Amino acid sequence: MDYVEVAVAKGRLVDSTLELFAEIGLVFPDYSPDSRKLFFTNEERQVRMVLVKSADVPTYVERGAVDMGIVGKDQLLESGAEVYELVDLGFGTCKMVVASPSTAYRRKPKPVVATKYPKIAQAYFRDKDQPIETITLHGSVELAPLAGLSDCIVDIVETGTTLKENGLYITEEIAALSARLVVNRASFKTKFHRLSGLVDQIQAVIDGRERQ
Amino acid sequence: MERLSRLVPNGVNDLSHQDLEHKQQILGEIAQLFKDGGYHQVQTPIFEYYDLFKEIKGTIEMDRMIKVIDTDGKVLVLRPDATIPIARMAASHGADPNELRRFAYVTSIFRMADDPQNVQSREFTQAGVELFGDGGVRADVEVISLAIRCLQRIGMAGFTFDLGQANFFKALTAETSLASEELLHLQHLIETKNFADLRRQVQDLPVRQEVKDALRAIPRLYGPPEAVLEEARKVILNSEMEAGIDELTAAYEALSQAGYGEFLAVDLGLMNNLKYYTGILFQGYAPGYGKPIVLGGRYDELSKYFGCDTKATGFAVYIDDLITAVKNQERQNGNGLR
Repeated sequence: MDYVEVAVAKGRLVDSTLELFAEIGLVFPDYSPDSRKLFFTNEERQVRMVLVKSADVPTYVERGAVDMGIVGKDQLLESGAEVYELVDLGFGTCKMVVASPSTAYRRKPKPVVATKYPKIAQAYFRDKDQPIETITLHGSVELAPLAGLSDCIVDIVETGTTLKENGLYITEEIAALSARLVVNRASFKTKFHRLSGLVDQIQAVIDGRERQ
Repeated sequence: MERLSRLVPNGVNDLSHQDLEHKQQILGEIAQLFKDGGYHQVQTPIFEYYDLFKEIKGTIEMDRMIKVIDTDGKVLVLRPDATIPIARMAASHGADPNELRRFAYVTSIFRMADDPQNVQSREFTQAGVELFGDGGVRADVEVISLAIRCLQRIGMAGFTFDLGQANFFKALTAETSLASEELLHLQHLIETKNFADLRRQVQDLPVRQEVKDALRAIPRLYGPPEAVLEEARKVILNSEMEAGIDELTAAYEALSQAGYGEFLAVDLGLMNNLKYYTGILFQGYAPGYGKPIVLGGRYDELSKYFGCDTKATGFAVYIDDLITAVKNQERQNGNGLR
């Protein structure tokens, strides 16, 4: 029998994901947080988990390199990947926002927006008929306005502490986000019974949590 | 300075003689099947007026057509789709709309790369058929079984075909007065089986409870045909929805009688290009390959645009994807990550 392959976004979603998997009896004994290993197998359930950079999860799933993935809605929006977005996992919640030291950027004809999410930023401001210039950064986006690189940023916030400490505040909220279970469209069809079994189990756990 | 003369542009690729021979062989098999089915191969120009594709709603995104400028300043596009030019051809020359006509094609399609990582994203080969002049389920069954035979003929194992019904969602939303933007958003949520966001979105819609229930149910209406068709009947709200399910049931029964039942599933959440399809639509999937390799369906409205009201259905096989899927299958017979 083929393995079901699951890509999990490295970083903040890993712990909650493993917890969720454990609740449906899916454990990966050889996983440890300090391991350099990138794939882990549960032989009994015939499931293989791979850890990849969160921005790469939509690509792995869309192209069928893995059957399913666990990734933040932010990455799904940014990639525009065509996948089935079957379950809102309810953890990893955060917001996509515009943040800035002031609202002065609103008066500029074409403000400069620093972000890890250029497509989301462009789409959001396009809907408001506001032309922008984006600068794509890969980390510490909060620094950009202070360093004079941009007028504002588009980024995800969980608690807002980092923003505050860097003299930024939320000026606009773009979307509420959470972790999603996504499935490759062809896998869902060709491995329907195995995947829908897993998905139903996960959905049941999430429903149980929501009822509490 | 970049030496572009040594490079191949993004999204297109050379084919070695081995690869080309393999491709020709597969194309030969498929072309023979088409011919045996009474389909006559036709050819349409490699470039057409941009207006042809621009004015027909909901087929190819404007941005994805590859444009060139004619000597008189008019905008031309490299063939972004095979069906529209063939429908024009079928509608012209005083055609009789009730005459059964069968056309086949094997052709290159050109689209702007939506996928910079795919070597064949801008020029790819499609082989397909169009059947004009029959609005009945008999015609749907004929083209769907031909599509299945294509995959059988080239030795693909474990593939599945999903059958959908464009009118099911259309007739459901006819019960509402939602703006087209809202409908598109709902359609996207259903298409991506995004249950959580769909539930939230539907919650606040100004529509009757039965409509809400039906909208939420659509993405779940997927799986083994008999069970799904039975479930679908529970959310029917009007006679058009019922007619749609009746059609699908009749098609499924005929296909399974012909021995194709094992390949079929029903997915009422299948609704790509809803503006274009007007009845039964279908997609074929290969195991371990992330994209559909066959797309098809009924498009009865298209020929009206060319002044001839003839019913039509057809499909296209994405040959390059098919070849990759077959290769994966041959190479992979082991397990897991390649």
